[in-house]
Amino acid sequence: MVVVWVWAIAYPQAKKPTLMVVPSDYYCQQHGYYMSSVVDGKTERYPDYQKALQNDFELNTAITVMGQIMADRGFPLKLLEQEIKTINEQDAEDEMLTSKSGGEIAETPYDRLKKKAKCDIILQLGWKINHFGPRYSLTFNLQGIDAYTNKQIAACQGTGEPTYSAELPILIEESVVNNLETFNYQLQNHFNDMVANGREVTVNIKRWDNAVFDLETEFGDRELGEIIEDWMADNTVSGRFNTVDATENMMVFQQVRIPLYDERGRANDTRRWCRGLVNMLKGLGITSKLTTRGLGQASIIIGGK
Amino acid sequence: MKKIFLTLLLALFVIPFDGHSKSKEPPFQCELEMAEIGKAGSVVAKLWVYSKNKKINDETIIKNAILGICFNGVQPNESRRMRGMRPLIEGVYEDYKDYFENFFSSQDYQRFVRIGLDGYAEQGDLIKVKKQYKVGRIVVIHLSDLRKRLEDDNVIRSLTNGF
Repeated sequence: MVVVWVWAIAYPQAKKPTLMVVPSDYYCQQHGYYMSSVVDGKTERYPDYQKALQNDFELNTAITVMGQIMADRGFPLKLLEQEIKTINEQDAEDEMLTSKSGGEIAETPYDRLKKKAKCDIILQLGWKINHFGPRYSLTFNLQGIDAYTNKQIAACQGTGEPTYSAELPILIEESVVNNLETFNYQLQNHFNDMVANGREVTVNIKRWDNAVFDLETEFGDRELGEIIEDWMADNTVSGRFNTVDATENMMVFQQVRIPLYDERGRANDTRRWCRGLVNMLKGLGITSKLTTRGLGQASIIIGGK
Repeated sequence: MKKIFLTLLLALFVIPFDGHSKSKEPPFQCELEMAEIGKAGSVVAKLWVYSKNKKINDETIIKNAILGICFNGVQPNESRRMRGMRPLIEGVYEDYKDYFENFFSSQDYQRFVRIGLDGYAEQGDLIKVKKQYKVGRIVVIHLSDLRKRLEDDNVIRSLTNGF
């Protein structure tokens, strides 16, 4: 009993990544499942997942088969339909993030979905029917996108055997079964990397215009930017991060590998991890505002809230 | 003294130098090729077993199917646009010899493979290759169950490993 307890304390279980299937942008556009909104005078189209799920039987079939296979591998899928319902229950105030300084943080429905569902990997699914004479075939496409970095971490694509008579749901089911084994192999490689090297995120440091100091201001015998970089080195897995850009007003850190769980064994996310940096800055007498976009991007704006 | 010398000399020719080098058929000699896209969690494949005999028994088919998918994987069927499958185990049979000898010692292994077409051979399922035969059979491998067993026995890592 004691051994088990010690083991649990010493080796906390990392949060199992969550997966969710969504129809791809291409699929939504082709089938008319989109909504439009005007941003800065330009009309932009976003996928309307709810419309897709309510009107597309084949899509539901594909999600069901994928769910069955993934559950069998120990990764039950988060249900897109359920997540949409939860998001719809949010009030308008929650949906629109506005900073106290008045600046708006633009988030697409896709970003909101990622943030609310807190899923780690989005499986973007789509297919196209190819006709040639009386025969037809199905080209299937599946991309696994890391919700934190928006990087493609697994993918498979293929066109099935031409047929004269097979029903579409059967072709879709066959495509999923035919491709998912290859997809899962790539997914396993990604998980192995994540367990070994941590989760990859992006962190931006910005400065309010009216702040009385900048990132080159010295605190003790070191510049603020240097102090932040040192904190990053100390708190990332094996000190892995890249300083992509650094000026007196901003710093951009990419490929920041954060541990999967914090020192208390709780599942980590970008916000929770960045809170440590905010607290360190607070110790220097610097107030800062922490905002996140999606799951894997955080911005810390120093010099005020 | 002469007797002892002759006995030792005789023994030198009779006993092989290496105890393991006596001729023995390899544990499996087969190829698997995708035949159909089956239900989720199963693989329908054509198993080609190389044998000195035209007839191969069900036990040999099932063992070859299991070892084939574990160490060789399944070849794609290009003409029918079916993807292949990587081997379940990254390594060679020799490293897992003891495990599989134990694995096949009970009859439980038979539940992982079903021989298709009730074991009947299709036309073209018997090919003479030099001094041996290449015998084909359709097999349905219950991949989910087999993978689960290998994961439970810590032979392979599960997708959830580390979480």
